[in-house]
Amino acid sequence: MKTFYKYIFLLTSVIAGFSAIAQDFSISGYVKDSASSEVIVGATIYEATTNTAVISNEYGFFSMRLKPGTYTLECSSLGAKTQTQNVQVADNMRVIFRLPSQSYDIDKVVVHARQQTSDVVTKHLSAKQIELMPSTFGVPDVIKVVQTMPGIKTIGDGTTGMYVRGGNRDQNMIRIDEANIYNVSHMYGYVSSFNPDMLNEVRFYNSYFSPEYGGRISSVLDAQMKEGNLNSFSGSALLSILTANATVEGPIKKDVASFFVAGRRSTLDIIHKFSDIVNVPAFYDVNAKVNCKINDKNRVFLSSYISSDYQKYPPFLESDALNVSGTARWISELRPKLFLTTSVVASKYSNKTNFLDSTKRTWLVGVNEYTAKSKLNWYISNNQKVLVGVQSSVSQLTPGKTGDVANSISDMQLFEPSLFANHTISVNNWTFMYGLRITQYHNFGEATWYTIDNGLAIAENKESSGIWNSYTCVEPRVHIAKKIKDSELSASFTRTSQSMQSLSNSKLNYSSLETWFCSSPNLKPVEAENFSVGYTLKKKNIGLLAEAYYRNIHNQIDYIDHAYLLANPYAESQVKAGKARAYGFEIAVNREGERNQISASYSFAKVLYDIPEIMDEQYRAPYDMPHDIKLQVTQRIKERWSCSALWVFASGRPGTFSQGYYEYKGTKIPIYNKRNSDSYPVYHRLDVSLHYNGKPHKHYEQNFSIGIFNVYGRKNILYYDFATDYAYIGGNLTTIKEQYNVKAYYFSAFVPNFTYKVSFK
Amino acid sequence: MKSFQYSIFLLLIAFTSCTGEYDEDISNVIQRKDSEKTIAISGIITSEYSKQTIVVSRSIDFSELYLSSDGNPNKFKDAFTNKRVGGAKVSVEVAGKKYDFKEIHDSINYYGMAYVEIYYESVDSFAGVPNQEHKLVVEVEGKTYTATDVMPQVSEITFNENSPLYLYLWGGKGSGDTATCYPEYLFGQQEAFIMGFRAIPTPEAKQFLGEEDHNYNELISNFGHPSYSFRQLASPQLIGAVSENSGITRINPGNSENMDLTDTVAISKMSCSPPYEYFLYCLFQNLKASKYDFGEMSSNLPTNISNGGVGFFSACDVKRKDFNKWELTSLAHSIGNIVEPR
Repeated sequence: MKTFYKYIFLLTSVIAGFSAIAQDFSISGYVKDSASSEVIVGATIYEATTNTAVISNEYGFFSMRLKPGTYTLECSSLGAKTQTQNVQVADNMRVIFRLPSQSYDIDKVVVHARQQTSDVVTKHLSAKQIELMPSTFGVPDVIKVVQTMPGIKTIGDGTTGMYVRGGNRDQNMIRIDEANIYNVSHMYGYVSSFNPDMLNEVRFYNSYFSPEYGGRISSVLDAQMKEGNLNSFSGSALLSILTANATVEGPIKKDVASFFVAGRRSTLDIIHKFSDIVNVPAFYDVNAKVNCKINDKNRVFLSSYISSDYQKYPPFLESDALNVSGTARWISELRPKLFLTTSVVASKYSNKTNFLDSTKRTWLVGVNEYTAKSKLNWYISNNQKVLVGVQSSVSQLTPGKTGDVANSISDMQLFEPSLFANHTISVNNWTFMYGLRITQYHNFGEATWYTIDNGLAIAENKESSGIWNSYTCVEPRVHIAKKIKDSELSASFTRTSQSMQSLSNSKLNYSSLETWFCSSPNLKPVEAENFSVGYTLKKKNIGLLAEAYYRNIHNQIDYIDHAYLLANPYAESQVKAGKARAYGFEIAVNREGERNQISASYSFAKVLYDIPEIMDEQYRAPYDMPHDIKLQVTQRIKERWSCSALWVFASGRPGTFSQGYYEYKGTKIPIYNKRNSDSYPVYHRLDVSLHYNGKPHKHYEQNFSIGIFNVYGRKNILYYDFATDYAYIGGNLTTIKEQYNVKAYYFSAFVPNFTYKVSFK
Repeated sequence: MKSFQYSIFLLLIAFTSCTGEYDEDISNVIQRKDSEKTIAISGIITSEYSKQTIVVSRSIDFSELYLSSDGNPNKFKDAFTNKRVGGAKVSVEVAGKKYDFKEIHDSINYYGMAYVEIYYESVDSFAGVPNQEHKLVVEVEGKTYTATDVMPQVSEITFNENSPLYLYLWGGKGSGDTATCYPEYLFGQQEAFIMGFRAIPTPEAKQFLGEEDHNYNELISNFGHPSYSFRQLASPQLIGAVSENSGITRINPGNSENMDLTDTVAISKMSCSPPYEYFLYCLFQNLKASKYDFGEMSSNLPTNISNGGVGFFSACDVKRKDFNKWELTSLAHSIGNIVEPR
């Protein structure tokens, strides 16, 4: 018996010994800015002996598993100095990295354009990058920077609309701190809703995006606000031609809670109060955030965004747009490997247009959205992580309301529950990401909708309560990548769906006359299958990104001939659904030198609609612009001086031009070519800017930039206006001749701009 | 610092305008794809016993119309010639009977210039028949164009508050003083009709204007919008303000407060077949689009003319009645306020 227990003890010791040798421990913690204690997203934590690398998540959190021993961890991030820490791993442990920012007079001014050479999945944008890019009016703008990425199309100057791989502009998810933004632009689209001062990081997905993201089929632009300086007070002020900005941040309680507030107001309307120009738009927006550490493992964030736009277009109309959102988030480190995020979001968007003529009509559009979401990140090992989550959204849509019930479109309500899960595993230079999202779209509550038959509303249906229409969309997503030395090959497949769509058939890109619809018995959700293959190469200071894609879209809608959307209670009868397909490829090359950065990209894209009830053959989508070239150069001239240039070229967008007319009872009736069979002239322009970064003082820093938008004054057409007119000719002016005029409207050419910014600390 | 502030001020002022415009080079725009000239046919056969008319014309290509910088007169068209087509053989069949049309050359005077207008008039007077198919046959330039329309029976003249009406003023001889209203939206269960409102000049107005059948637009443009002073001369007040540019506005036929007791309005109601209703609806959208930047999709109007023709042939049942102020007020329900023209 004694011998038996001896053997048991020995066996147990051996097993314990082996276990001790085999057991990994979790090294987790946060990456923060050393000055402000602001978390750093996307930082890389690398251990050389085991060749292990992990990335900090959107809350700066990272988790790594190592066997017992002594290691050197290296933490690096864009815009920050690399830091190393030696750790003795004998148990689960906590590590905090505090990275000092790069300052201009010490290190490189040139900011790396990671989005052109990083993996195809996530394109990162930093605030510094946004600041240095030439911008339309000297106002740093994240949307304008995204528009310079390969394959991102826009139509016309000034607009913030993006067309990504065959998707329409309302098929991009654009959000700030998890709140969807419906009005992405101010001032006719010349300024976006993103105040660059409030941004911590921006991530853009147009290839594969995690099943966590749903509700839009084309791309995701996910912006995260700054959290506020936990250590000391600081602020900044900025003045440019278009805006005046101010920020202030600081600790509420040092190392525990902080706040951040950023506000902007337009300046052009103030300037022009002294002129007789009346149709100058105005706006303001405010971003605010409070960040509170409950304890080492729990944090709470409260953030909000308010924006208001006013524009007047006498004698026709004036419009008021309001965007208000609030996000409450709780992040909790349940275990060293388990990270839970729970958020509640409420947002309100409304856009009211008043017609100034004697009709005194109004047009009100709005979306109220309430979302609750919880997701659990499980960092199983250095090479494996799992994400699971649940999301529930309720939206109240006002597609269009006038002062007259008979001319209003009925309000709609949408309930959208979703489940999602994603698994990422890396083995032997292979990375597999696969997941699933299941979303249901339920119409519920009080609403009136019309049965549509052959383009006519033939019956009215009044719903009073409960769920009265449902769709279920299953969205599998897969991404596979293989690292080969300095390069990576990848392939992706995603299925995405979207219930809410914006309808606006204005020929003006910046028109506020739109309406937001959701799926209904007449309109199925839009669904897309997206296939892509990609190749990236990073060798020394040269990066190459090449990607080809194919997208198949179901239930794509387009407007019938003579569609009338405004004040039309039967607006659903004005659209038809069919298919669309998009295909193309994108190539980008980037070279980062000691004092400069050069990047060039070319993309080819084709987008065709196939909607038999509109045309019995395939036709070009309204944003089908096949060729797209972008060249960017950023050069450090002297210690504090740098300059940058951006040249863009794009094929002319489609148009439908009239070629003649006939008369019907004395009225001229235009004869048009087939829809979208004509093209506007090609688009190209050159922007340049010069930046000066002042010598940092103890309590403040200042920088200044001047630039010119559209240096060589290319008159890129916004739209054409066709008209016939009568001309009296002849020596005695007795002969009436008829002439054909085409007026071309363009955004101003050769527009100078400036920005002056001072930051206090 | 002062010069810096001044520089900033100058830069701000420099930005004074967002957009510019210029006359585009036509060659950049005219892309002759479907450019074959088309025959346009228009005509309404009514249930009123009279000589019926059909117009046959030819489309104008914009390449014929642009004004060249050298002022070469060969580069653009006479405004009023070469559009109407002569030499056509026109006939209408209804209820088993065939009616031939003859070519008419009408001399007209427009702003002191003499022009000839060609159209086709039925040899004999006849009336369209409700609930019957009407068939038009036009043989011209070696091609045959046909069109059919079934004439719906028109209901009595009423003003239904569920039928919002929109006003469209057509120009042209004989119809210039008629304000014509069409239903704005297409709703399958709703009867489609055209309402015409024609102010009958009072004796005082006739004395002022003479015996000529003056164009209503001319009355408005010469004397301004209907006003209380003008009310004493004629009775257009019922219609409210109208636009000399064929504007579209909403009216309330019941709002007759500006009418005198002796004023009379001749109201006509014409039925529209569903294809004709859709044609008119699309015509309106086209006209609205030409006025506003946030308009509809540029697209061709529907047509029931065969063989590549454009235009529309319709058959409409008509009822007419004269109303005085009290009859109109008691008949109409309030469907909104009179509004100014857009």
